[in-house]
Amino acid sequence: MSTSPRAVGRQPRALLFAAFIVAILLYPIVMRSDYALGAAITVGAMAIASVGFVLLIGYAHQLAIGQAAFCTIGGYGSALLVTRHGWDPFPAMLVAMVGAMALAYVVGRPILKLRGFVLAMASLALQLILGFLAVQWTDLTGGAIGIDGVPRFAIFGWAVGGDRDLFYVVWGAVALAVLVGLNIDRSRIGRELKAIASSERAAGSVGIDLAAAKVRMFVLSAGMASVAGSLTVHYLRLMDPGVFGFQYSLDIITAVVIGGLTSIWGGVLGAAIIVALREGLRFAAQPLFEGIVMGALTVLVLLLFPRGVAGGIADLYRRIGSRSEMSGGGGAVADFSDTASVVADDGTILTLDGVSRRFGSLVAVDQVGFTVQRHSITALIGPNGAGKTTLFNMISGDQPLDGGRIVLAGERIDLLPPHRVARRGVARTFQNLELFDNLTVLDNVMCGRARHAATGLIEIVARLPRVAREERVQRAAATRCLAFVGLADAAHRMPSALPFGHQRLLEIARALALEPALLLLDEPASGLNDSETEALADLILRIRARGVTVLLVEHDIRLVMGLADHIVVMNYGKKIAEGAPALVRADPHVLAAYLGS
Amino acid sequence: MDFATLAQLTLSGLTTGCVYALVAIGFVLCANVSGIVNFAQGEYVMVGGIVTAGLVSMKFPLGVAIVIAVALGAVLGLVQERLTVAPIRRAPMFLQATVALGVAVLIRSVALVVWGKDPYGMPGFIGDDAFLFLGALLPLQALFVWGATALFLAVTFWLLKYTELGRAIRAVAINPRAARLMGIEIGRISMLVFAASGAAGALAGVAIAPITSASWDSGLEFGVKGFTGAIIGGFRSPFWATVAGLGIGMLESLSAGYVSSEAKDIVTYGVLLLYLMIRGGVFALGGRATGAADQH
Repeated sequence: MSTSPRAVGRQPRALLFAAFIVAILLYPIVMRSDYALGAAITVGAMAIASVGFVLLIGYAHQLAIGQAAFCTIGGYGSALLVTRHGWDPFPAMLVAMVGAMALAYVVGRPILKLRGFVLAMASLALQLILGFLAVQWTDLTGGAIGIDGVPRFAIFGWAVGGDRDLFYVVWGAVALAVLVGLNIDRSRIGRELKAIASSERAAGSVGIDLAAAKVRMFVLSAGMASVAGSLTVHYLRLMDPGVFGFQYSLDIITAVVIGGLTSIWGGVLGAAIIVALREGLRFAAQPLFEGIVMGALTVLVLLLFPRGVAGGIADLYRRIGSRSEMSGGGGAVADFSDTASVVADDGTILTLDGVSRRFGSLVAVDQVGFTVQRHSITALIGPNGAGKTTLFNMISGDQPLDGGRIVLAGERIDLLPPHRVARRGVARTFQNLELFDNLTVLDNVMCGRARHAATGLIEIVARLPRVAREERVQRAAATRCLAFVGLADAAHRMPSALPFGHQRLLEIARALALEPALLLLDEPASGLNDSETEALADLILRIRARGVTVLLVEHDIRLVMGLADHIVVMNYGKKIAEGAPALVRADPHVLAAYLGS
Repeated sequence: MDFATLAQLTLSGLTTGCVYALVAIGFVLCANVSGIVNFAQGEYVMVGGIVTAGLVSMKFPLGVAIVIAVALGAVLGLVQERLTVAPIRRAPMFLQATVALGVAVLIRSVALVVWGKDPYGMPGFIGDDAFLFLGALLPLQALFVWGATALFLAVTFWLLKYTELGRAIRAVAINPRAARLMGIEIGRISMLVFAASGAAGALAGVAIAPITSASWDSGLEFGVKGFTGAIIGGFRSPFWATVAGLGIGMLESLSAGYVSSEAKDIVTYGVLLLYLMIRGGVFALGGRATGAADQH
């Protein structure tokens, strides 16, 4: 068997899934009443949509208030294709699913670039428009009366006999959705989503495309919602505008919140709890109270147990069984720079030309220009407020330019967003550490490998052998980076458990994992003691020796004078001097800036 | 099309637009001080309308009913802030937003249980007569909607612009951390803003109830349309949110008149969807984000 640390966690996960399958197989044998089967089918359909919603809200941290819009697409898609065009229900369901996913992509791709939860309202607008079309476009949808005479589900002619068969189909789909979710959870996509949730800025800096990662989850969740819609319609045998109204959207949200939005299983648990609650209230003859109970539970669970029922169960499990940890292997340190591909002929790697940035009337960076030579250690120094960090942020893509240009190996990068700058081989660290606190040390570094990952969503969802192979390669590379900075033993600890100096090293390791051509270090020595600073200087020299060009902003003048080949001095947003350390030290402007004129 | 029709549509649109404007300003103020989109905003309009109409039907004097309804809006806003916003100020944003949605569901569900499914009608404050203005025939109640909105906006803008409190609110909106360092108590500002937003929504609900009648599920629509105003206004500026809210009301009314009454909702929701898609760069090739909608 594999000796990878992840194998330890895999066994209970596989056991749990196996138990789930057994439970599905046994349920109709134990629970034979029509009522029990019908309730289970309703739960199953909602569970499919809810598992998709966990991916959206729990993993991508995006709220969609109108998720039932995609159930509507599935419902009408299936009902129309099957009753009007005589399609077989199975391909009809798949076509509707693809349609829902395409719609989610078209809507989500631009909107998810915006911040501030605008997807929530956009999805609600989408649902209201679709609901409205369903009522008004009577020729197509049958209006408020809807479409009846929807046949039982069938898969290429194999007709589903009764509710018991439909139960198996629906819960088979639930199992598939859970499997997809679990595969994403333990893949690089799951890791990258957790990184985004922890720090969007740092995620961008290691080359993770934030918008694309969120869009993927939105599209997947839309596909699952559509399947839930199709299957529900084949169970009800009709479709009308009321089936997937606003209430259904709320049901999905409440289910996921109560079930636990950080766990794929939360979607399944939540759907069961919601349907049970509703049925209970109906027995108690208090159906009007449903909304109050659902709303109150949503608020209370989020305030008191934000990880829901599934989170509670996971905590319980963790308390009972202790988890063993394995230490990662060492291995030889390879060269991690692919410098050759990104260096201009004249040996310049980075050129800044007339770069400016204004904040209102304040000119933070004023017409600054300099070049960075390949394999050099270039330092950017200056008193507080000189504009160094702003300049750094413009190089890494975190801030736009108001003027000038930045060229990396012959190509302009000043218009690119951070993740695309990173993908061209520019890695950075942050003055105030931006580690992914929700991931282990090793996983933090593995996030730095985003630009070297080739497997796509479909391969990951299907868990093709290539995915595991790539993970092994990535883990080995990340482990080498950890070893290089001397943190190999800490691989499976959480970053917050490391001393401050080691957290700085971890951030450097994560940046090195990109195999950068250019490494930007933002005040790497701040907060370090003398011996740590000395070790850092040694590390920076070793990094350069590996073929990486280093550009650093630093306050520690002693460190800079001892390390840098080339120094650029800034004051009040302007470049006031540049040259070799000895020259800069003697420059009257520099002395004036530091000692006060 | 003749001028009278245009005036009729524009002015009736202005009337509903007033409600959207008050909701929009609530969205913007709450978002500025707390960072979250308060999904319960539209529910306060519903509360204002249904409580007034309910009390009037129980023979309460109109003035008393209005005061109770608006005060209830303020109290609910305050309670929402204390119980569901303040305790989780450090939680991830999506969690805070989901909690606000839960609060909205809770409020509308309580309204359903207390007041039932049927909408409540209510007579205009000074009768149900109409008046002629620029060739448009409008209910007298419209005057109250305009007046209440103008009064609330005037007081709000005066507060924001000329008082110590208003400066504090704006400071928190620009930079909460710096504001705290300057000695501004964010908790108190946030309480105040949520209470004011609740009151603004309720006031709008009170004023519009005689025209549209009040129903437990009307908050959703007011919420989405007010949000559309807020987002098109840039989500930072109360002034532009107000303008956009009024604009949405007029656009809706004009499309109902010139296209079809069924088209009006599709137009508004379509505007929201398209605006966001274009804003996010349907036609752009991706670059560095600088837009106002990206600032929080």
